Amino acid sequence: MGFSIGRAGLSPGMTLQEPEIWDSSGVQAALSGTLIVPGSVVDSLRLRDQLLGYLGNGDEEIVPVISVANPRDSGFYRVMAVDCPSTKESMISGLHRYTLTLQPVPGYANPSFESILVAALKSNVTGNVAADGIPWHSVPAAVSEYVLLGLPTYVVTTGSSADGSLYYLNHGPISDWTGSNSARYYLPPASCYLGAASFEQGTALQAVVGRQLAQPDVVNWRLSNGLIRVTPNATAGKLDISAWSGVTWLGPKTFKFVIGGNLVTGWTSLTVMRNGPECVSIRLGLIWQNWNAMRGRAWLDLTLRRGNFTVVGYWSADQAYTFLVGRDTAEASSAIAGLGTGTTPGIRATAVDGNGDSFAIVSVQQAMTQDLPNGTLVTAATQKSADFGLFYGGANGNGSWAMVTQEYLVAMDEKLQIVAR
Amino acid sequence: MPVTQRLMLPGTWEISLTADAPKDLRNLLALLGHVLILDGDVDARQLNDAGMKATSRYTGILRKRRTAFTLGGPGLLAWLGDEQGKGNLYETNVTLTNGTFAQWVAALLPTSLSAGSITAVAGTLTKTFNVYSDSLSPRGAMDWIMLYFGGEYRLNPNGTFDAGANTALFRMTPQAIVQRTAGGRDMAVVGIPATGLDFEQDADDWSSRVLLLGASSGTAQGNAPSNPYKDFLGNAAVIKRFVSDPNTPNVGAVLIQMAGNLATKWSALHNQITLTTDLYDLPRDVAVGDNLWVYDPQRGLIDITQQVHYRGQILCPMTVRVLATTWPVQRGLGVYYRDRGGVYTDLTPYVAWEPPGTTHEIGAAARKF
Repeated sequence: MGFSIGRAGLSPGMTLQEPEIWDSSGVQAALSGTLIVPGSVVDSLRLRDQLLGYLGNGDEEIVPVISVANPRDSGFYRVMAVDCPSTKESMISGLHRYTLTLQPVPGYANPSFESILVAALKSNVTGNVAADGIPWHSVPAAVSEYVLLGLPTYVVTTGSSADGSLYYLNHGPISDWTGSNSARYYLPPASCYLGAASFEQGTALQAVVGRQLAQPDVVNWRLSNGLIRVTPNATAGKLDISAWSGVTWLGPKTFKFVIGGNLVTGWTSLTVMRNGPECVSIRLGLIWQNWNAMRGRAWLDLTLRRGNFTVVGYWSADQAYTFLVGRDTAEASSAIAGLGTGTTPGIRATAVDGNGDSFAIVSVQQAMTQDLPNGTLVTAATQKSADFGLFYGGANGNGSWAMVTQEYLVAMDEKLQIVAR
Repeated sequence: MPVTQRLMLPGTWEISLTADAPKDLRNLLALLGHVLILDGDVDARQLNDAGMKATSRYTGILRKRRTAFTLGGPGLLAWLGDEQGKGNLYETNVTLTNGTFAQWVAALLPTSLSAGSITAVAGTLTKTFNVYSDSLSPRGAMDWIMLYFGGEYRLNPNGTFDAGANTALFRMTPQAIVQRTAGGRDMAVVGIPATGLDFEQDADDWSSRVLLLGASSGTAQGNAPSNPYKDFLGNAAVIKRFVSDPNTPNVGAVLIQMAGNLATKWSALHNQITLTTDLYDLPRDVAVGDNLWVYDPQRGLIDITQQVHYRGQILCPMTVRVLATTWPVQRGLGVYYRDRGGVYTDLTPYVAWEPPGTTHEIGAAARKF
């Protein structure tokens, strides 16, 4: 790693050169330099997009800046201005000049993070109550001075992601929460994106920064958080999910989607709705059999949070349909036991697969019909929207399925800000 | 020169004309005519008066010419009673015995407006509005009736007057959500990105109990629906409010109902949220009187009892009422002057358009001292 601003400069093969000028007035820092990805004009433009994506980026208002040449300047900053024009010459050479204006946050080298966590029991038809849901929060293991204000006790487990170790903190049950609570902690700049939710696009896949500069490429993309990855299958309209084993990526497991009895056969569009290290959310426009452009819209929203093994999905359509999600290749499954007095929230693989992992599909906000021999869930009635969660991970027996359900039952949101110590 | 619309108040509007607006056109713009704003630039010659009224998204009364190029005045609701209490005042007492909500609305509505959709609100009232001793404009009388029955009203840009429960008149189930970050349109929810979101909260008006003095020394008391507050010594907070309302007849049931309604009114905290957004033509999605979702965890604007699927996530927004909207007269709208004879003059080519930026007062109206 040399120089990086947020995710810009972190992607393999797309390093950012140290700025030629770092003019710091104390209140602001003006940086200027050049960027280039040797040998690839396209990748130079993609690196440029990563820088430009931080201007007006509401999902990452504070970014870590790391300078190997000037480590005293490394810390957390707001990006106030970004300028990286493309000229006829830069489009040929791949060499782009950039200027940045950064504003250091209070105590920029060692600030305090505050995650405002909003948690509530999802409205559900499974009869689950607040005692059944467990809010959770995941941070890189390099965190220090962590406390959840108002709820000092929590269970900590350590997990391994492709980026490094994560702490996984269960604060629960949700009946102990009063709506929102704030977690305070510190993360060094180099650990900010460890286990972070990310959205990548292109060939080779590179991180997309912000919401505006995503390309209309529905074929080459990936959602990831270092624990689970979601990619489009080679057959359009299907998704692959891979799981981190602790050593390597396992899978993928392929899932299909069916609307009104018609198989989803492709995507019309891809929209990035949220793109921050704590959460990424994208929307796919759907094409399905017997579809034509005049028949209205159907969308599939996919959301991935840091530390979560479950991809949260949400169907929506202009008209009422049945919505089915399930294994592309039939896989025997069993109903997941309901929590407390609740009914079954979904299905899971009856046996672990060749990787020693299992899939699960959960859904709690509308009545679902389970097809256990084939491993699918379908809404019991036609409707315009439906929720689901796709899990793929370690085979830990029924105790793990309870945890999957407990976490899925909680609607959570995290807003990250820097506060003065 | 924006338009300000307020819930059950006339509001104001102002439009500036460009310097090249012809003099002969400006000469046509007589006071106490009307200005209509449409969603698009239509050819007024192809629509009759009823068609123009039906298409209008806002109608104001031309009551002020600050300069030769500036038009302004109150909204159409001023025909019900303006800010000074002037209007088509009653010259004979208005009396109903066991009058229903709809009967009272019909009895109080002046001839300058026509009845639109009047939906029932439970209850009856026997009362006389006295011309001189009550000295209420039709709007003042109508406001009193609304407070008594628990109803609301809305004046449409075509001059029709709707009244009933707020659920019958406005979108009480929100269809728009406000966040700090940019948001697009889901199928059922419109995202409103806020360029400014200011939250002000106070308990200046909070009262635990109302003491009502009505007509002829009739009295009644009403308690706030809930009282979670305590005084310095740990006792339940007691903050009583004295209300003198000679319009409330000295009838036991009426006094009690009115006292209860007043106690409910004065038990609400003043939560004022000022929202500014650049979203184009916001009033098409969110009108005054509608409910709106607001989500800003950093300011505590959340409600975990409420969940909304939006942009792939479940958010827990607060529901707040839009009480006023100030919106710019932006390029793309159509502006027309209607004279006393119902003849229209198209002002659209000569309007000095405003930049985007709509401000909502939501939750509670801004205090004006």
